[in-house]
Amino acid sequence: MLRSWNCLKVEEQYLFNLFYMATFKLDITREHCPMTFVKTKIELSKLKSGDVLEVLLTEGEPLQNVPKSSTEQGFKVLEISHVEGLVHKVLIQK
Amino acid sequence: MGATDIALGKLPTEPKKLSLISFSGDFDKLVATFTLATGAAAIGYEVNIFFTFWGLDAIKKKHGRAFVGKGFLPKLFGYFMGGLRSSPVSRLNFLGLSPKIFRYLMRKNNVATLEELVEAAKVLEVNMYACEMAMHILGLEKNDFIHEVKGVLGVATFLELSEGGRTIFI
Repeated sequence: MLRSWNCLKVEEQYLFNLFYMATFKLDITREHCPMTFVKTKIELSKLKSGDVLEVLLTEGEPLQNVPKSSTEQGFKVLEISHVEGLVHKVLIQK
Repeated sequence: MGATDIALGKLPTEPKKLSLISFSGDFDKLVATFTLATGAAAIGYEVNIFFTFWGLDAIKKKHGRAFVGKGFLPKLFGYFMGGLRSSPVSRLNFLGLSPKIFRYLMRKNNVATLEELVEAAKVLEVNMYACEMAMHILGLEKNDFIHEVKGVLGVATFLELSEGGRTIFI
């Protein structure tokens, strides 16, 4: 399984994760420091390895720090995309 | 550098540790203590909080005013000091009205209240310690504190715990 997983391209791994791993959602667009990354960390700690957390956040400190701190703690940031206005979406895999 | 670049950056190798000495039992200073503690814990820091003197009010089991402590004077003192819910603000307390106004404003503006920050600190497994000496003066025992308090320490052990990180006195 591990060998065949490594043979997949990054895009294929991403698609696999999208279909087979559970995706959870968290909206922190109304939160302020430090609850933006506190809530993200708490939510991530509840997930199983491989699960994906979709975080909706605003520009500025949350967008700058949530993906950064997640990466620093060993989580994988799969995607950062603009949703609308000041809102962005970050996909983080545990 | 964009957010993506930061997110895909290298992992830091140095251990990160933050130790806070919570001396003041004032509402605003406790908010600062727990904001720093939860924020740091959420981004991967090992966080230690050493509660001493008035700071011990924040970790009492009884959140309001209660006759906590051994002996007449400590009990009386414990009552006036109160717990987390009865903490005064450091300026313009207006006989306890200001903390209520602050709590209202925090909720209205969607900012975490002191109680929410303390709960988050527990979930994030922030290490909380009580000062042995201050406990003796105030006649307090470990059982008077919330069970998340990991232990009762003296200066030497605290210095040992905080070594290699940053220490802030609040």
